[in-house]
Amino acid sequence: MGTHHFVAVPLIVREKTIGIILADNLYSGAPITEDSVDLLTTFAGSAALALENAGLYHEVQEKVTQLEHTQEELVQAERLAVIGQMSARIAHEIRNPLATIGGFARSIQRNPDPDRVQSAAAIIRDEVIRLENLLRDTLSFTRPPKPVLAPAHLNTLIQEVKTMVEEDGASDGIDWNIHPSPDIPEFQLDIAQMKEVCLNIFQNAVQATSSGGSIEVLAEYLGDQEEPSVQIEIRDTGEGIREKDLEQLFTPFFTTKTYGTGLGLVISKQIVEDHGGKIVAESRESEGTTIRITLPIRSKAERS
Amino acid sequence: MTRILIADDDKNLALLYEQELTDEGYEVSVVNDARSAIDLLESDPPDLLDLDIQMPGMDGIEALSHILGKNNQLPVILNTAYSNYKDNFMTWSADAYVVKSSDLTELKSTIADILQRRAQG
Repeated sequence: MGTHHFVAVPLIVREKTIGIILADNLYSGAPITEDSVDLLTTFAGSAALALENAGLYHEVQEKVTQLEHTQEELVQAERLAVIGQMSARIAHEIRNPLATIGGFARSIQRNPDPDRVQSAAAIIRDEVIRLENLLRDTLSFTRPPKPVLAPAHLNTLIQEVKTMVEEDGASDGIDWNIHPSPDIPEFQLDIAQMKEVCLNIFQNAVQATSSGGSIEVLAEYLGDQEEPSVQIEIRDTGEGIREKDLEQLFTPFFTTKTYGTGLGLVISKQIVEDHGGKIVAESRESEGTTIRITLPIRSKAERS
Repeated sequence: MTRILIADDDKNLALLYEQELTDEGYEVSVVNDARSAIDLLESDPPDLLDLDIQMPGMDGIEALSHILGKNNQLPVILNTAYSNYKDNFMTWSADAYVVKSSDLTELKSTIADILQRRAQG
């Protein structure tokens, strides 16, 4: 080292030496003073911390990457589980009508008694309609059309759908209570789609409610909120939904009905969400179910 | 006459079974849910039960445990749309597991086999 001075300062983090800084006076030739050593010691303290932080940052990065990877795996596993459930339900929805159609066809082939042929043909026709409906619902579920908005009166729409359900005759003996709200303004809706939603929910309510029960439809304008909206509540006094079924209510192909496709509420939810709204269900077993739809009222400009 | 009870919520499929099994010479009754099956088994027990698994309300597997808890001598065939319930060990307590098909040959031969085995004791 000749006439040169040198100084060594340890890099210490949490009482552990992680390195060392060596400095000499090769270029300056000036003696290394106590002040310089102090300055270097302070610098070494900061440098040690910076090195430690860089190391920690790298570790955090690795953990984040690991977490992201794990999350991706979980999402993938969930997706596979949903596909599995869907195929099981589709299998069920298709196998029953197929077994019925094929079974009756074989039956009348063996025994072409005219009465049997007549009744078998009627059943085969009905089961084919069931499969066609399943296919139609599946297709409209996978390809929901974009809502085509036009000004609509919600009260009128509800009344029209109620009349459609009544004409069907299935709601005979059920007490309808429609409470329209006079202050709901005309607002932008896809009328056909929203009718489909109401029809679906009204029919569900009718199917769940036995004669002597009631279905109440409340429409309310929530104009004083930050985002003005309309709330529609459909309450029935029907059989209600079991807690474990309620969780799956909006899951594709979930149904508690023999002739249900398990897609009605899924499509309804899609339509309501396409309108910027929300749909929720509340239910108590053997007391009834309430479906609540909230639709924002926005000007056409805001929507586009 | 040998009596068979069909429990299936699919009315048209149940009607097919009723016709076909009546043609085979059985006396057939039909119920469309598990609860009615359990009630009928108490009041008027059949010689064999053909039980669907996926039914609204109580499903066939739950019904099976109720039924076997009361009468473990009753021959039960689980008849369902798909085979994945075979993994559920509760289904092992049934006498047979038949996947639904438009061809009722397997169902008919399974019924005949079980009844014959039971008759031989």
